[in-house]
Amino acid sequence: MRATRSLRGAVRQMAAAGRLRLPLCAIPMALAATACGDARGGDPSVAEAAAFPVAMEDYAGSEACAGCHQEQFASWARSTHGRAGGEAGPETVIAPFDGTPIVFRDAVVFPLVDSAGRHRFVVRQEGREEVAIAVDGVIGGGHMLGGGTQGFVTRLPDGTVRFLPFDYSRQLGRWFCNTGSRTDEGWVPVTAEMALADCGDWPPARTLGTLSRFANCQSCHGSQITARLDPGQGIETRFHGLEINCESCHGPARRHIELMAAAGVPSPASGPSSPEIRPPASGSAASPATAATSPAIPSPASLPPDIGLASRVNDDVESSLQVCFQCHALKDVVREGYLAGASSTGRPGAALSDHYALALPVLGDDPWLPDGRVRTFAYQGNHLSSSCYVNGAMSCVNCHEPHGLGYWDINRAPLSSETDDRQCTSCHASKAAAPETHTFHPAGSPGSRCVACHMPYLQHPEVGDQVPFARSDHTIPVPRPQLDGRLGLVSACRGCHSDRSELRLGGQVADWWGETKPLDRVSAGMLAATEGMGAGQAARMLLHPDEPGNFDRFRGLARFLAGWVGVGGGLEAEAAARIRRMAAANDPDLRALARATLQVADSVGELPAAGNGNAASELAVRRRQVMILGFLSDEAAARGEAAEAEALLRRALRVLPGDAAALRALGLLLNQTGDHDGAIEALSASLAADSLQPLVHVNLGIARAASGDPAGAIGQYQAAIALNPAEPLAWFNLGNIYMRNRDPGSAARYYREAARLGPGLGGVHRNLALALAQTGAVEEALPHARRAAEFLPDDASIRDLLTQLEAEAQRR
Amino acid sequence: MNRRSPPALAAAPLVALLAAAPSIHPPAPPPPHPVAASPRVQESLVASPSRQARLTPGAPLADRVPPLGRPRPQLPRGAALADSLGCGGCHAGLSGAATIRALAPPFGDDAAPLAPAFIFHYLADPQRIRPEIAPARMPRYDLDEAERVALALFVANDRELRGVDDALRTAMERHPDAGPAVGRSLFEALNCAGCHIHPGIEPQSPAPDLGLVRLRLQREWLTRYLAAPVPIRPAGVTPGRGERMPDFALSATEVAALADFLLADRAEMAAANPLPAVPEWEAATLSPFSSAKAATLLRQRWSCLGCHALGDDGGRIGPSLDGIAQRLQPSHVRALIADPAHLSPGAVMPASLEQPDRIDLIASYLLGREGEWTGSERLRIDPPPTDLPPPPDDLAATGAALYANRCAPCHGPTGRGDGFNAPFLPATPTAHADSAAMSLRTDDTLYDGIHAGGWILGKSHRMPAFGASLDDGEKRALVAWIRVLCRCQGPAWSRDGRRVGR
Repeated sequence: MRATRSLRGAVRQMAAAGRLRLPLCAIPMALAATACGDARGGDPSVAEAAAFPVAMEDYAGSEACAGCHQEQFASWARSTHGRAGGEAGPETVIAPFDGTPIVFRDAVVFPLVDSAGRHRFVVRQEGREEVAIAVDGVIGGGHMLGGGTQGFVTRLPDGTVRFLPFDYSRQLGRWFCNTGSRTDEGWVPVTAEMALADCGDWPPARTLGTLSRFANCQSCHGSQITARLDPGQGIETRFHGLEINCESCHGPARRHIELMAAAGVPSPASGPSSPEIRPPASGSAASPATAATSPAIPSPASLPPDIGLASRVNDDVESSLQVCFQCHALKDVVREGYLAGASSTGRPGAALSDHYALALPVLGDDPWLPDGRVRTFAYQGNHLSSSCYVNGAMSCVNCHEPHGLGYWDINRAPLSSETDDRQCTSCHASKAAAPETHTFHPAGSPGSRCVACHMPYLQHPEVGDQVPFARSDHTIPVPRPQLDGRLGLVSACRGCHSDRSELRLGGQVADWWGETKPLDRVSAGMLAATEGMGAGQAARMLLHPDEPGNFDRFRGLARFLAGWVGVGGGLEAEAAARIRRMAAANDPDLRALARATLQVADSVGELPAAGNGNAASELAVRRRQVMILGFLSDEAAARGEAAEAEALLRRALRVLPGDAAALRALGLLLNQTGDHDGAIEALSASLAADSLQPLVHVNLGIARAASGDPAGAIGQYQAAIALNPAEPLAWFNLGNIYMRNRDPGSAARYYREAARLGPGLGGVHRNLALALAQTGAVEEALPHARRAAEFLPDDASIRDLLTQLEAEAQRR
Repeated sequence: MNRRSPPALAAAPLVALLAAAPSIHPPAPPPPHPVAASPRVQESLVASPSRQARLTPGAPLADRVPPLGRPRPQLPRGAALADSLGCGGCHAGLSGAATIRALAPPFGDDAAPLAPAFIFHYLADPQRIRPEIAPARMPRYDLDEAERVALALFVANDRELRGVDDALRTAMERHPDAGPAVGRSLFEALNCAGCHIHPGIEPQSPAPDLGLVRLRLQREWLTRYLAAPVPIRPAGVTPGRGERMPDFALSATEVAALADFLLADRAEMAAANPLPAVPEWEAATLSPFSSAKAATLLRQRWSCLGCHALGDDGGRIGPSLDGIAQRLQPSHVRALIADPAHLSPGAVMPASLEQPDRIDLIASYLLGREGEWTGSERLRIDPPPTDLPPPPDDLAATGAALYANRCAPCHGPTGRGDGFNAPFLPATPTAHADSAAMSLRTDDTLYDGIHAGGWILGKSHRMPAFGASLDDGEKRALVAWIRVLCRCQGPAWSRDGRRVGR
């Protein structure tokens, strides 16, 4: 069993064919699975911001924009956002659905289009029934230059929409799958040596929509994707489309359309590209014929000031980044239920930061290298480590034209391609005056391009090196061949000059440019800090409250917390002072991490007042604090330090007393340490704070069963099923009750339902095989034992069971 | 203040003052009688102990000055008036200032000394004397006391300060810095040499080209302005020099004649001095949403308000943007935003790097705004600093000249971040004289900020982008001058690696 991140909803948004981390809810007999619920503190000063609630119904879809905003719509429709996915059809599918089989060692899969024109995968495995899986959606179009992929989703009976394991690489022209959580070899092209279950998505596990229960959820491969519990029904998955629509960036448009209609603006099939600006009616060629023939169009001046949408011109750098970082950044879920496009002042909906924390993924398995470059798998969020952002004011839309997703310079002058130097030289004009004195490469040669050296395409390591998935480095670094090599990266120099050693390339760099620009102090400190170093020295290296980048400051502090702060261990005065200054930062992630660090060390003292006196932002900070303390608690529990883990959760509950997630985590922990009464108390309190938590009912049932109250346990499992009839873990634990009661026949009935709803849960197949074997149904038990061995190949007890069953079957 | 009670004074001493400069005005004019001198003039002259020794005859200047009364070409009434008034002394686009330069007294070391007290009082209200030269006249410059002291001490050429009365002496005590050097800089800034010959000072043409008036200005506004000029640029035409349009106290008839002349389609002038093409353009009607968008761009994204005021926000370098629809022609507004130097070569305001759709939006917004054009309060400008380091080379010298016009208004003449416009900005301008801070910035960073504007460095949007208006050499010259001001260099890593040509 892998440790479950109980508080930090490890939901990371995905861009291409999927992140590798797979569901962490593998199950032994004693279950511990969690869901993130809403957290509401008891402190009246910490209130929810509810100024502009938005709902799915507030969105109108891109087609509704086309009538008036033709130019922008046409540009968008051709863009990679406009073509990011959709229903399966000749326009969207690039993979071959011609019946050519995808051959595994133990399965043959036929991608085909049936006679009704529907795209399907037909899966044949020896000894099993043929399965036809409908393609209910296409994700991606293989557009990305560094490696474009396409994936497919299907809607399951439990109401979730999940990714299939059959991905297609345009560059390779081959099918591949993601082996994360199974063989962990990254993305690999399918071969006849592979088992189908080597693919982490077999059976499908990753869902569309943010469901903290699933570790690898995707709400970015479509527009306004929501997946939420519909009590009594199961999971309800909704979206407006699998392309990235206008409202993903502009926010919900329903009210805009209604206000414009009320003001008399028709929604014409043809007409001015925007009703907002009209050339003068009198005079020269500027007079539009449409004005004469469409007297119904009101004068722009007569339109209302509130048109139901805010201009994105209002965005400052941070607001602008939040629009793109909805998807193009790793993030942890602070609160579910985010709907897109709501991150600008005066715009409906909550801010992105109320729902997601961009820096928290740093904790634990840090996806970034010390200088912010991608270490495992990430997106363009490391722009926050680029000097162009930290020491300048660069946002995404300074280079990326947001409608057509072409390129332009900082003054919006269109550029021809992604390699056009003017993306850079419209700011760095000093380099443009005599380019060769900077590039040392012949003008016009590929090596003379700014992006060739400063934004090289880097294959994301977690993917492996078999399927192209390289993305341009948005930290915009200076090439340092030797450091790059030390960090395991292919330096920009070596990208072309692969025949030369890093040493030689480093010498050339030194010869041309002399001393290289120094790294920022946090990156330099993270590279230099070593385990065993004194806390004072580490603090001086890692804690830089005056560095300009919040993201970098966070990373330094996270490293210090991980290496040099013990629970209740106090802090040296200088370190405490530096951390206190970071606790006054405007950034909610940094503020929360600084506060949490002081709490861990029991060195809180006088803290700066809450952020700007804004109760909503204070809540956002406290939620993060609870997540951080919960994460540390999980880490302590995984090390077997239960007392420390509990102490950390008790601290979290001081930050947000009565917080459902913290109570849930405490209940899980106490269950594991055998304090079942304590667990029952904590889990009951969690349910009192948030009743829509089927898995908390399941865990409460486990606690009750363990404390000798099987009837109470059954009641909780039934309560979970009443909330979500498709919850396999509730059915599974019901089966466990009957197994313990030596009633394998009844147990098998519940296990069968659990296996149907959660076909990828190895523990369910194991227990079902065991129950069936005990009832003498060896023939029925065998395939489940094989499934269990397929999904849990390292479990010796399953191998024993399988051996016994096979022997028994042969004997019969 | 304690003053002796002044005895009564006839006009005679004043007449004597003027009549004692026969070489300037041959033939000597009959004494104007009675000169409507202000009581203060009377008072101060009585108080002057030096009125008996007020003049020393100097070398005749008649050979340098065209005699009065020579035949002049027949000009239309407005043209003749502009000629007499000497509009061409400051404005380009007119046929020079020979007429006024023949009438206005010359100054300089060779000229006869004058009593500083006379100049001091005269400048307070200059139009009261010499009616015989009408319609020419000395206009009123709205000078404050310190400026009058400084100009009087410079112009009078009276090194012994014999012609100083009590009022001037008291004023000198109040303004101890207002010496002849300041007077000289004022004389240069106000372009006094446009009318008054001074051997050491070349006349300039700082004011707008009047050949363009028809394309630029609205008639009603021009009429009002000629009748009662109000400062357009609070700190002068060249930022911070303090040049200003003086008040000629024109009669209604004169105003009408001048306006007719300036607004006429003067084809012959256009042929001699071709005007830049200004494309026809009309402002669009904006929705409230687009207006709000334009307002956001102006206040938070563009650099316009670094120099221009809009309502209660914005700088004081350029004209206020309030009510510009009353003042300027729409096509001209749009063309100005796009590229001011195209219309007026040498303009300090940089050409816009923005796209045409946004320029249309901003021009339409400004022209569609409600509000009266009221002019500006005139800013009192400190004289140029005397402690500027000398440029070590030609590059830095070029930079220093550019800096004085384009950077000093905000960053201060010596780079201390204390320019006259700084109080009107939301952020304190960078102190280029701060060695510690500036030594952390690379030359390229400075260059890039000059090119693309302050916002790209994470600093103020109100620092404009000069990229389209300064060439590579000029930007490098500015960087060189900033390095002189900060007495520093960029970080070592940014300097050492350039090995081209080694």
